[in-house]
Amino acid sequence: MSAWIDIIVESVIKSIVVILFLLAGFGYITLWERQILGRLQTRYGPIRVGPLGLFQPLADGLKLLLKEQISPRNVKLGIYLSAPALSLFVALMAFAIIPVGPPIYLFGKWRDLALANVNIGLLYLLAILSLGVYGIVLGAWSSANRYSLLGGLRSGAQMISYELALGLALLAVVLLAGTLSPMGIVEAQHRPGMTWFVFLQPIGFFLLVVGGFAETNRAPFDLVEAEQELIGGYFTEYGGMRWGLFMMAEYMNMMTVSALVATLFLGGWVGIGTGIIWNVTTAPWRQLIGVAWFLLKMGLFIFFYIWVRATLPRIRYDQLMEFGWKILLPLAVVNLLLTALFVSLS
Amino acid sequence: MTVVASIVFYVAAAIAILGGIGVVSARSPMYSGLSLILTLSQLAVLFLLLGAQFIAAAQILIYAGAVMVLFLFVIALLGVEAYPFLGRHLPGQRPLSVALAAILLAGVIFFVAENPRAITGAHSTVLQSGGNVEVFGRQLFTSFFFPFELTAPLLIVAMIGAVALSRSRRGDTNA
Amino acid sequence: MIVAVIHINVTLADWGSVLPELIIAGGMLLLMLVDVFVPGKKVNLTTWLTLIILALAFAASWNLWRTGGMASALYGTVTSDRFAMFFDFSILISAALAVLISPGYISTSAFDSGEYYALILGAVLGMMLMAAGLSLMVLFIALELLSLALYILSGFERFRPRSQEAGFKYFLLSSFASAFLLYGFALLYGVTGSTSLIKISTCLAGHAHGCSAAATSSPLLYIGIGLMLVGFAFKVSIVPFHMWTPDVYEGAPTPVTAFMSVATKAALFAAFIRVFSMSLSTVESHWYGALWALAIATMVVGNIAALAQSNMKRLLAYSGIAHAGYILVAMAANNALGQSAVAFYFLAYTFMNIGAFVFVAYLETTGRAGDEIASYRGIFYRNPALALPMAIFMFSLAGFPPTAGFFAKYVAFQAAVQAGHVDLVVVGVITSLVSVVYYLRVVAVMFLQPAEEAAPVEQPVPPEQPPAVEQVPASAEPVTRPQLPWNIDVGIWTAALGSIVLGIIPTGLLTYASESVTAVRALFGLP
Repeated sequence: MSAWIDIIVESVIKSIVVILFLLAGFGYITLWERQILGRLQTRYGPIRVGPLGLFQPLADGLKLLLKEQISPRNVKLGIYLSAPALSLFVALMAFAIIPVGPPIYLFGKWRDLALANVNIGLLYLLAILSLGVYGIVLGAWSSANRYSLLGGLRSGAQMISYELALGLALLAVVLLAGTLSPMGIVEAQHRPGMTWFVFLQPIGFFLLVVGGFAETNRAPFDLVEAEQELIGGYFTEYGGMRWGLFMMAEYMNMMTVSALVATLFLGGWVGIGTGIIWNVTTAPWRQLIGVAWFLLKMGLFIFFYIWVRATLPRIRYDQLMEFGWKILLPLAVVNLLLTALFVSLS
Repeated sequence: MTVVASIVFYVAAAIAILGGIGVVSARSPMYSGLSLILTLSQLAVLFLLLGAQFIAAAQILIYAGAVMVLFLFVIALLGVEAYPFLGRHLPGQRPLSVALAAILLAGVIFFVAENPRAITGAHSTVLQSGGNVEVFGRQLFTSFFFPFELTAPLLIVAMIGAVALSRSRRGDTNA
Repeated sequence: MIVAVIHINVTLADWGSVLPELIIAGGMLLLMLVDVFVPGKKVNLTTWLTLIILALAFAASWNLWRTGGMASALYGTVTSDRFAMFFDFSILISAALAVLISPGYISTSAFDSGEYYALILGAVLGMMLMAAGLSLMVLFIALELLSLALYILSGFERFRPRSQEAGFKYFLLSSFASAFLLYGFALLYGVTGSTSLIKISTCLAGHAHGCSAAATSSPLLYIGIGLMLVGFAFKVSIVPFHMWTPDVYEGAPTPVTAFMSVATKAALFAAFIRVFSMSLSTVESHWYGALWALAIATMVVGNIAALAQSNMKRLLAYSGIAHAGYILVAMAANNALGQSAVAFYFLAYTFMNIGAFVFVAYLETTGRAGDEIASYRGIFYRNPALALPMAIFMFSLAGFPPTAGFFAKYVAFQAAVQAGHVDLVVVGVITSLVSVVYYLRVVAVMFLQPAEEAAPVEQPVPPEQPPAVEQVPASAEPVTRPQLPWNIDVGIWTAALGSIVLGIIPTGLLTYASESVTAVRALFGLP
């Protein structure tokens, strides 16, 4: 029974840490994004609130919370209110399987630095990602607003279309690693004769990056919320913290995708000073180096996200669909075939 | 372990049943669809409890994540609420459906009561023989290899049909 | 690196036993490619290609018949025993006849000919697998394959609301029936713990290891059988699940109707027999009563409703329902003779029923409504070469000796008598007498003097038809549908020849039919 309690306590602690991490991450990525965008456009971002603008996210959060919460007259209230929460819920769930570092030996047991190390890992991730569309579609539908509905439908079509390519890209990685577990995939990248999958699977990497951008509705695939055409799309009718929840979900999804890229293609937590086999040492601080490496890789990719936003224009809807179905999908299939061929021959 | 598992089971089962009732009783097709999603997601939880992780994930990924999204799409796009005939039923439809469901339920209950091993037996063999995905894959590519391959022509036919039926007529300029 | 290595144990012999199916599947892809890569109009080319593919598949089936095939192949999911091959013959012949009369319909539809034929071949593939499936999984996927293709084909004349209606109706109702069947399969699997028909039969016989002792008396088995019966009954249009049949047959393009009216039923009955008469033979008492009632209702309702029809396609629909009733009688006999009777019946039915549809198609392609019986008045005097075969088909469908229809019905009833089900036979004979009325009415109308001015004899349409593209307005019915110059004649005379030959010298094919049944019974350990 005590083992059981141990598991529950461990899970609760991990959950709290992950949620806090994601919340803080959300706040500071928005800040970071605005500052980087500012720099790229030869201006300063928000730097006045606190030193280097570090209190800006707190101020933003406070403002959102204090705003009046308006519900338009014709909304389907139940769904209207639950849609942002659903979005956030899904975004939080997705991070659960990401291993942020090597297992740590604490209190007489090896403990994974992932919320859950399930053997269907990537499938779980795909399943959760596929649920992400509901928050948006439902929010859009319940708002009783044409712009919202259009945005929601665009988003639904976009996410379903790009999920295919994304799934096939992940499948190629799975074939190469021989396992669905993210932990196992990190390990597989450091077996003798292997290297980071970004080198072995350049096409898969490309697919995951593009698919990840589309899944998170980020520029240049952000025509879901295109301000100029759709006045914000699915969150047109949302204000205050309800809108904030949608934003949170978007940024958390960005973090999840970045973490996924780091895990699957950039060698996960492994870097200089961590050792390639993780359990060479029982000293917890050595493992923390791994966590640092992981955050660094993840951060780099988030920077990439922002950089792309500042650089590329939004693409048109039909271009988006053509690109997804006529280029990405065939590419993903070919990539999968080549990988399968490679694996079966070696 | 068993206590927690039972609690999870009862909660998930209750929600699944509520969702099922919601599907048939909701006035608006949108809420029917949402109830179905609820039921499907709870079924996934039940599969997890049975140790069938792959099926649980597939349940979410395919049914909740893809099929139902399209359902909601159609409902949202058509604005189905506007069609008055949707609320109507055939005469005697409700009592009949309740009766048929009751017969089915009774059958299942009798079957389980007669041989409870039929329920618990398969579960343990799957768990023993290693990873769930692996067992599934092994079955798929041996015993059920041929039916699996057959889905290819099925999908091709579906694709031909979808393209041919939705295409505008030959000779149209915007074809 | 690779964690799990799976050895797929499939030999060349396994593939050989599904060679006919492989040919069809390959042909399907080939036709799609032809559509894309061959420029210009290619109705003739694709028609020929399809006929060649069907002929190749027929040859492959014949070869398997000659060697006896493999009892079970590909992990026991499929068989190439003679029973399957015998039904394949019916299916392939009806497909070929339907393809012969198709060109005119394709050129007025929105489809490319390659798509149309690919769909036909998809349906054929599903049907052949339906007849060959030894596993519930294969049966269901095959069923979906054939149904899906037929839904699309029924609605393929999109400019005609009737065709749209047929496609949509068929889709809605039939997919519902598929769900019933699937639910039944699932319960059967739940009770017996296997999707293999052979394992199910050993389980129910009480021999199997690890299958519950109470399986045969389980309420789930009863429910499962009931659901499967509903599913099968719907697909082969047995009363009271026949409502869709007349509408769909009337609305669907005639070649499609001809094809589905015979081949679908043949495939479904093959599977019906495999599942019920073979796999579930030990629990015959569970389903005999239901089958008995369905057979009687089907014969009575089908024949009486046919009396009131003035539209040929609707009449043939009800006649098809009635024939399903006779076939059900043979099946209810549940002995070797009865099963041979079903197999033989379908071969006979292929010729006589499709023949009748070729007749309708001919009239339609010459620009008339074609399916109003009243419009057949005096056709004999205008076109005796058309009226004579049609008379043969009608006599055969009514069951006059010496036509194929007579022997088919005779053997079916004989089997029922042998099994002691005289009641079924009495109903069958009486309803057959009723059926004579409506079949002969068609013949009588054709031989009546034409009332109005005798229209000049229609020639089988100018060859090499370039009609000024497809600018046919939605309401312009009937449409002229250009055919190949010879195909209607070939189709109708082949069918007539078949109907006669099977009636005059039936013994050879009857022997084949009973050989095929011996094979399948041996597979399931039945005497």
